Amino acid sequence: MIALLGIPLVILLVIIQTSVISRLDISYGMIDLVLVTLIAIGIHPRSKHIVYWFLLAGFLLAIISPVRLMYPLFPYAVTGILVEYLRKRIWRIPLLLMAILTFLGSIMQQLAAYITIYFTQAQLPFMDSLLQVSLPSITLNILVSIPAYLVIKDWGDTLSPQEVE
Amino acid sequence: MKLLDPRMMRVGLVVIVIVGVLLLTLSGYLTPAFDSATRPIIGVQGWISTRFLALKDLLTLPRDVASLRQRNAELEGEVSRLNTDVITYQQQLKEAQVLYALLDFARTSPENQYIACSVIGRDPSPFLQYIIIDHGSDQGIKFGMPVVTENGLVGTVDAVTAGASRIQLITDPASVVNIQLENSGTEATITGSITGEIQLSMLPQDVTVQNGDIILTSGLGGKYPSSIMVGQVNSVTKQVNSLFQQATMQPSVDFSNLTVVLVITNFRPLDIKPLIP
Repeated sequence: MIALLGIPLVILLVIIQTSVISRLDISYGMIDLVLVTLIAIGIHPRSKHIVYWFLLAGFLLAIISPVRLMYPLFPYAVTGILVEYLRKRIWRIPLLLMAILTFLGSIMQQLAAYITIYFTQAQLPFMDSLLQVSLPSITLNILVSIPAYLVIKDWGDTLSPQEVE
Repeated sequence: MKLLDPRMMRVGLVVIVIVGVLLLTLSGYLTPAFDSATRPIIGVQGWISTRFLALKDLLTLPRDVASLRQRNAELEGEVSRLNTDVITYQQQLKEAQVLYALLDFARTSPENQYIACSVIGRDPSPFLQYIIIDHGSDQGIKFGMPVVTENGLVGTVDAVTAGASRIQLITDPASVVNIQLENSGTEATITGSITGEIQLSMLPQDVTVQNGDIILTSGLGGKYPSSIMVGQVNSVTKQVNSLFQQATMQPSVDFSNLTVVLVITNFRPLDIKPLIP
């Protein structure tokens, strides 16, 4: 049931990503709001079934994307599994966990996008792609991850307050 | 009754004095005396009046402040609403200006039929240059239809759903458009890139290409109609050893600020892939 609650949120995030964030190019890089927000939700101690949310987001982005092979689905699914796996192990330093997961998720996504586009659409120059698109995107995602974590944590604490023993 | 009755004499004296004073007053002889007499009275009256009004203000002021505050809040609300209206009207004016420009463009090419569409999104991947518009197959949009603005070529319809379509921009790395230079008539192709920069390729070495040369669609390949403005040559690189010249171009369309586009609906793109050996 809790997984179903993520559907409207993920749809809203995808809409914001395509209609607002995608128009804000910074040195050809782009913030992945969906990824960062889902990671921030995922590392919240009381979140559940976050892998399904990642799968849904990847699926929706795959529908929108013109690239075949549904490339967003794979990095999103792997990031979701990583979130599920690591949050029980690095739970004492959530900000570090947030930064690590954002970094790994962004790298996987950029790599998947590059490889898929390279073999299916256009042969992108590697260094240009790395320096002008991938690195700015990863940097922006990491920069946004900290405030995103703080906001989501605040909302999460408000919506589902911890039980006092 | 006696005229020299003392009582009658007192009454007569009083009457004479009153009449005399009246006559003196009317004639103005007593004005200085009245001024001197009334000045302290007026001063006292003014002092009392000022204090009374001050006291009245003191007693009634809280009510006035409350009403003023309420009125102020009402006016602030009104100003806020009017500001919102102004912003809305400015936005509508901007849209109207864009639509007028598109209409002018449509009138210059009456042979084409257009559908105006709003841009509602862009592709979330930074590697790709695609936009999403708010019209789809329900409004007659089909795969492959060319998309333009009043400034020139935008791209082509890449995917269609019932209510929306995805447009591949000519700046996309996978986009290839056959063009010709307006001055020389030389044909070449343009290709997009991840940075949005557009490269000219297949330009023969013997052709003189200069900065500022106008670039139009050639119509070759059947993907786009001919003679649509694409942009201008920006820089030319000529190497002796290579077969072709290289050049970059400045597109005539500002792709970062696309809000409304026109889809040419009566152009049928040709699929020549089966003919390519």
